[in-house]
Amino acid sequence: MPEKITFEQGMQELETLVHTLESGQLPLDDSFKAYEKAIAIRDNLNALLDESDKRIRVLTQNGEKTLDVTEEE
Amino acid sequence: MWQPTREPLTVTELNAYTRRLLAGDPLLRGLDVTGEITGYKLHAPSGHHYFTLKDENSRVPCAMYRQHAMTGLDFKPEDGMRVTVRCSASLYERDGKFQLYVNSMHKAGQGDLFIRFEKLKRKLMAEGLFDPARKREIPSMPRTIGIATSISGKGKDDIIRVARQRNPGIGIILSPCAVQGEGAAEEIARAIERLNANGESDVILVGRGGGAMEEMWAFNEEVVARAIAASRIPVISCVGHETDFTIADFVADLRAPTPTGAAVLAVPEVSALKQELNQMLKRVANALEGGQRVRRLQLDRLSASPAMTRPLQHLIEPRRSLLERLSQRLGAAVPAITQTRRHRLDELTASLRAMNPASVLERGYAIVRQDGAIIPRACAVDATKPVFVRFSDGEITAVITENKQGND
Repeated sequence: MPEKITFEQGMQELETLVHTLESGQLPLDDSFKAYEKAIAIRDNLNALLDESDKRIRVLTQNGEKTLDVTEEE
Repeated sequence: MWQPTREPLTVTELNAYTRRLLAGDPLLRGLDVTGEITGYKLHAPSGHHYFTLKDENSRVPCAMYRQHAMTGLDFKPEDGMRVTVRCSASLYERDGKFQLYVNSMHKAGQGDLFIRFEKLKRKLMAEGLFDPARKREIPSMPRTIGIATSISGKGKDDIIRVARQRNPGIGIILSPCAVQGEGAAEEIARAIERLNANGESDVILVGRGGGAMEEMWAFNEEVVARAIAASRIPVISCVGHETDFTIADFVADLRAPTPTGAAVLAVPEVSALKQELNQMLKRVANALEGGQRVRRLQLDRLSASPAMTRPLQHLIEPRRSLLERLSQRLGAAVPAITQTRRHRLDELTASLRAMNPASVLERGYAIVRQDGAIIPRACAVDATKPVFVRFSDGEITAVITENKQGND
């Protein structure tokens, strides 16, 4: 991941970009930059969403261990 | 032969006597009794409640009349429920039945616990632990959730199942603890502390699956409240009791009614988020496209303007038409002026002509001069000198022969 941002930060930034673009106040050049930035943020956030940690870790008084999860229904 | 020692009593007399005896006892007139409900019946026509209270060794029948139930009963009694009744004990004379006449009924232990609960609640509230301003924001997209609950409980399974359903990639850290019984409160507190020491969780879910209020009691203990308040990581409480709030619920940053509910609150659905994300991108693209369209329209409008399409005409036409207008006005103005002048000239010419002495002479008059001066009267003539008479066509010199003026 090129930039470490939280999902909230990314969403907020995206929201701001959308509003600025929608207001139509941005010069053409900046509009394209904003668009590129929005795409980059989107990709970042998607990567965040796809991050996966399948383990279930258990913190006991004696330290950490990993719980074997048999997918329970 | 058997003889009664005294005059025998009738049954009615006996029961009446016994009832009076019991009624005279100050303790039996008003007392609290704790036991388990069995054989509970609501007598529909009358609205009276009948049941038996029992403990390990004994039982006692109870009656709660409608008028008392209306004020003294705020839950639905069930068999097996442990209750404390405020009552009087007496004899139902007709049946010779010793029974309790119940004025009010409360779930057992509730009184004590309730007082402790209220006391702790007031204390923590006064400290500001329930203050909305203290509540930390729950992260909208946690990568890892911490769970403080029993490792064998259904609550744990519910949370893991629902969390994984909503976000298959979510990290889960379990911090096991007993959730009821001796020492449960301390264990819950330590479980929260362990999750904080580990520090990887973005949000902590603390709670347990459903049960009776007494089984939830650990979550009403001060040590749990303190641990939640001290947690650096936001805490969602989920003590599986839909209706009643525990102290933990008040201190927590967010309250969920059940572990399942907590998982729903804590873990957003990845699919929904992706959809939202795409929606945003669509808006970005639309805005960009819209901006382009507006710019193109502006450009088109400008390009279509006369200045751009027919620059020469645009510059020349107005000037030409101005020139034309001006010369038209000029054309109209010049003859007008000339005519006026000419007219005036004619007038002047006529006047001049009228005043020309020559024209007078033509009409038959003559001018008489003597010594260069015009002689307007006869008396002004020197008869000894000649006079010059001017006609229109010439002049003659004349000698005066007679001056009639002199004779008058």
